[in-house]
Amino acid sequence: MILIDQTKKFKTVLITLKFKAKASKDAFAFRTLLPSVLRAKTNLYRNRMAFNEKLEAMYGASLTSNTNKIGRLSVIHIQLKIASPSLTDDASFEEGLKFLKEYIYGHKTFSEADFELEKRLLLEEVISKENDKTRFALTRLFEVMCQDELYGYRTSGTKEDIENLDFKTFKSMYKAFLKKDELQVILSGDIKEEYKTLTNQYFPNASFNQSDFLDYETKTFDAISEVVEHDQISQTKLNIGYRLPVWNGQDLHIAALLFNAALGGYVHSRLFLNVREKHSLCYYISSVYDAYKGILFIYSGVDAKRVDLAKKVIDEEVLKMTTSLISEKELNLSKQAMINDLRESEDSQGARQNVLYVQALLDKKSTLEQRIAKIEAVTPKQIMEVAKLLKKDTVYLLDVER
Amino acid sequence: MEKVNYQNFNESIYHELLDNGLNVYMIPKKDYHKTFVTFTTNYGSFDQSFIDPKTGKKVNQPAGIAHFLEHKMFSMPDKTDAFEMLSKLGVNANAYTSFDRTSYLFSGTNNVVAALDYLLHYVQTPYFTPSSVKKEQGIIDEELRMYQDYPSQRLFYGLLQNLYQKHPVNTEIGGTTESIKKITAKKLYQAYDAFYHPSNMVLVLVGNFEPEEMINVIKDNQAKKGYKVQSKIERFMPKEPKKIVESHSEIDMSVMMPKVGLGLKLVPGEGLEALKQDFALSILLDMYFSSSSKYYNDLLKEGLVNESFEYSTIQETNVLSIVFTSDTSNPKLLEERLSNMLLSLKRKKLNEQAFLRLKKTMMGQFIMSLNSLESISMSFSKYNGFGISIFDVPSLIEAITLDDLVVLSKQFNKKYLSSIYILPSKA
Repeated sequence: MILIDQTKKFKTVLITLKFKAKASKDAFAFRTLLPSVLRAKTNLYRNRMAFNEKLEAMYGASLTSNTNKIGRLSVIHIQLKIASPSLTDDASFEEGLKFLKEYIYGHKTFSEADFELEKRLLLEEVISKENDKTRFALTRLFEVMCQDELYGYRTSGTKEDIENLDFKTFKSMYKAFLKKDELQVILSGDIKEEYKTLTNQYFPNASFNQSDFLDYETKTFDAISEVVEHDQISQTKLNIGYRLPVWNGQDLHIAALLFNAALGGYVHSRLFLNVREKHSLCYYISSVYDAYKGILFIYSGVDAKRVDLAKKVIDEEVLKMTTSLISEKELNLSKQAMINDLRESEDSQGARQNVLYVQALLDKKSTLEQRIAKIEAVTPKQIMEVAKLLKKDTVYLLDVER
Repeated sequence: MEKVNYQNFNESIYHELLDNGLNVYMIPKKDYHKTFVTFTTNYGSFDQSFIDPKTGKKVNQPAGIAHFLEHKMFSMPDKTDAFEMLSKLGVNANAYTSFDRTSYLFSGTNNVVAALDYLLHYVQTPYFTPSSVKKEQGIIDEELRMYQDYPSQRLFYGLLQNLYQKHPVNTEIGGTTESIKKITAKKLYQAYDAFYHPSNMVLVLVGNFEPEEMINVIKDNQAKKGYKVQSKIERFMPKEPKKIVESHSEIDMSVMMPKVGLGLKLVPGEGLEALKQDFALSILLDMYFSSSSKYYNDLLKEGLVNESFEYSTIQETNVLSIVFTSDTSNPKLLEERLSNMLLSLKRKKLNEQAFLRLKKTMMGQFIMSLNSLESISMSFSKYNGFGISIFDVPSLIEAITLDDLVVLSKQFNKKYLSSIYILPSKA
């Protein structure tokens, strides 16, 4: 499948490859590592230096990649960004396609030394991410809350997974990747007719199969789990995970998005105003809703001396959403903010591509105006309906050493 | 209103200087939904010492006051919060303080005129009380503490402290727990009156709007404010010696892997020359340390660096430095190897082919940056400070020669090098 976002608005052209497969724990480490090993050497570019020199010579084209989970899918995103051929050199689009093809498929052999090097780099990256305590505390929340679910597993694989991946397994997984992963190509920018023809020539294997990819895995529980861990930090990280059984595309989906927006998605939200501004309890506080999984979480950095008060105030705010109707006026703030975000995302080439891709995955095409209309239609009653579905699951505290 | 066309890029810039001294610049982008507005004062963390225009006397203020002032600007006399008000208009508001600027900004797709009017209103309505200052001290102290937990932040400022004796670049933009305690409502008013006069500010609009309509809104708004003309503010910056402070320091922190920072202090040029130096230095560093370079790939193979390896130039008023940072399992060896590589550049015949390729890269990346209204607007203010337009940048890059790089490399000297390690603390 080739998706196209034709627009003259931007001064760049993006060629994006999406490789999708069913997510499985065994493949996380491999799929995270793959894009880096592929750029260490190809048939044509004998080492990293030659590979990166080619990117520089293409007017500093940038090649980025990342692997993530969307519901139960694992998607490897590969994106080549080039200055618009109309501003530099007309031949540069085909040059870009050729380069990408070489990058993914030009591997008669791999070098074990390169593999080991990239493995070390990934391992060090995973380790250093633990330095970011905000992020680390969130990862720990998911690990604790979803310990028997796919969601609780680190998308880059654990340190052990990465360490245990050997060269032979890597090579056989690459072969399987070529055979089994499904490729979608997205072109964006000033895309001329002949660019499509060229893309078909270079990537005749692009295809697409529809499937329900949402992650419905959950657990039954009566008691709220509470976990406290300690680290040498000066500010306590308080994270709370909730189950919110509403998934993307369902009736209450947009209402759930607005519920999250009103609770903690924006700076006009209740958590920000009441926990941060009114009580000065924390520096940051935010809530996030994942509609591919049906969970919502609140994360905050709080004054170590006032953790209990912060917990109490957060609980009160959440409870209030179930006991009293939000006013139209307050709801409108969140509606406006979301509509503004939607419109703004139309100004970002990357965000437009994501919308295009997710719509294809969900098989739900809608225009900007239709999406706005859906937001406008949500009522205060629906917000309360969503609030009542919310169930507190886990409290995770990364505390200062006391 | 003055209009300049930049045909290569299919862009135009409108400019008007208002009676009260405010400079207004507009770059219309008709096919975007969004409009991005920044209201910027030429006042940042560097500006701690100046002549108070009211009294004519020299004042010294505590570190972090510019950032503190930025936080306090959002409190309005009627107890409303400007941030919330803008949020109610459906736009995304923000503000930030850097070494030499403070910017108040918003972006939105709706209510842009009302938001613009309000932006001018709240930034031109100072309101500081002793109790609100006290409360803010708590919030900012939390913010500073949070940064203390960021190893990369500690590394960066630790290195600047090793390199700079007197220049305020050695202090965090937000100040310190001690310095912010000295901030009072009176001091805030003093700073505000000096630096928030329209003649010290620039208003930049980028995005979807009619320039004529906007300039009228702005003029009407400003005409009502009754600002009197204020002359240029005299500021004092301590004279920074060439010498560095410390050639090495270490910090123990909760990190998984040691971090190394290596800095080299250089002699900064003035005005446009400083900008050219910055471009030339960036190309030089790219030639020898980018992902296509032999040096970087050697370090990688030797297991001394990983993807966290970064380098950059620091170019600020009276400051020019090179900074390298990386996680590493062997800080000592990495420092030694990297120092030798860097110092060897002054004896090397620089590779012309690589120079031309990386100049092309710099050009392509500049074109790419023009996609984002935010980056156009931010770069605009930066280049405007140098007296040039953002669309003049390509010709400035084009004019850089290999000789410019050679001249800079001659300054590289071991006695201006400093290193810092962040080491995992023993539990």
